[in-house]
Amino acid sequence: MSDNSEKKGSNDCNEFAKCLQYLHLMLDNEATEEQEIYLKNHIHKCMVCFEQYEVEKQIRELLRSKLTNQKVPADLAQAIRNKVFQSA
Amino acid sequence: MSEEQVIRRKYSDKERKNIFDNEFLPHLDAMYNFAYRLTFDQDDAKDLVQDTFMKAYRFINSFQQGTNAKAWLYRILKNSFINDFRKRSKQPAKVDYQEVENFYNSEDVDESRTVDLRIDAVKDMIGDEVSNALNALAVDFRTVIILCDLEGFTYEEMAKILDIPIGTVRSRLHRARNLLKEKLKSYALTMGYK
Repeated sequence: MSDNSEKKGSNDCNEFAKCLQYLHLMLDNEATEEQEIYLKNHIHKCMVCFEQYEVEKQIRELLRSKLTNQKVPADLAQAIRNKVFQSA
Repeated sequence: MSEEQVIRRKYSDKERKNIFDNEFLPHLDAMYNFAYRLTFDQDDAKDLVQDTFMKAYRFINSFQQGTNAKAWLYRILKNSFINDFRKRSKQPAKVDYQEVENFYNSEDVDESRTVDLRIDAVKDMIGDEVSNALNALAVDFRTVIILCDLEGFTYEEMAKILDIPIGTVRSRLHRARNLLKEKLKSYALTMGYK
């Protein structure tokens, strides 16, 4: 393993645009099987895209864990039913 | 599936009640969360959700039983928010118009452009930074991220909810994610990450 500690940028992957596109598709569950296989193989050998993948995945996880839990007012369902069926 | 054919059904009272209770109301939690993410206010979210369900019931004949009720309801909610709610609300719109304008005026979104954000920085975030960053986005961008990442809608469903082509869903998402990362990046910089 030749480790260079220099900061890598998108220039270090010559298929970066394509990878980025596949990466988003994959994380959004919209990739085809081929695209998914391609990307999985690719990130095994490309640090740039691997890191990009990790970053995107982590952001999505943070969003999910942080933002889904607003408590719904207890009486809301009943209030809505009353309103809807009463005015019908 | 043949879509967008406006088939007028005529449900009986019993059927309508049934659809409402079994296909609409189960989405209440998700709808309330979506509304809250748009309005940032519990009372406003409540009103918006109530409004949405009232409309859903009123237009129930244009809903086809057994189809994607959640997407249908989200579409109503989002339209209510844009058309009625935001106008009525005394709150000034928290929209960065420049941001939106730049986006719509750009010919095409460069899908290869991204923000150089390092995993170390993101790993150390506890989440508040991310939710703050999301909340700071203009509503169009915030919406696509909520629908995609939090609600798990497909691009196709999102296209229907938002009334835009799938290509636009993708480019808007891409732009939204970059804007989000830019905000996270500036946060990371203040925390000493490079």
